[in-house]
Amino acid sequence: MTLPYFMLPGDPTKVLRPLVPVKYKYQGKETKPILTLIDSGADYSFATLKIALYLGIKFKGIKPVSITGFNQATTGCFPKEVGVEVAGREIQMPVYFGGSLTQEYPSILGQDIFFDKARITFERYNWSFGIYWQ
Amino acid sequence: MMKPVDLTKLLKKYTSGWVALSKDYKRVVAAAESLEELDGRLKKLRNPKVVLISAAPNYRSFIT
Repeated sequence: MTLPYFMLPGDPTKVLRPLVPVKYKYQGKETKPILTLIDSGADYSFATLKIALYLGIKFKGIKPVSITGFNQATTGCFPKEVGVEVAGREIQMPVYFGGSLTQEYPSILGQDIFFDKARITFERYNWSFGIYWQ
Repeated sequence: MMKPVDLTKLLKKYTSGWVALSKDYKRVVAAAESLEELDGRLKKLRNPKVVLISAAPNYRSFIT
């Protein structure tokens, strides 16, 4: 599936990002599709605790995992296997909830597991990117 | 060349919370501070098909 980049408000200039609608699902509850950043620089997929709370996910007994950012700052995230519906397919994969996600990008699809199951291409020069399931 | 989806005008006045966009990304259907509150507003509109985006004043300068 070939998808367009999104142009968003930015300072000093507008910004273009590869965003894809993603539904997060957990035990019969699901979100509406949420525009999610595809980030090949992220090892894992992340989502804000607000999404976890909305889905009714409980983290009791789950040890937080330390995640290190590019500036060496570490933050704790809670991994949980959830359903992720994206580009016409649903897969079960761990999403790391919490951490210091920004307000601008509350959900990110990273390498593990997503990039294992699909060929992801970025053609920024064409303002498009692709998700092609294996 | 594919045309990017331009949300700059639609999102200009939304700087926090969540915004529900029509599926063709041409209009804002509803907005609210929380996902739960947004659900309530969409329910009153008979749950139209939407796509959500987190609202922010500036989407620039992001690195992972």
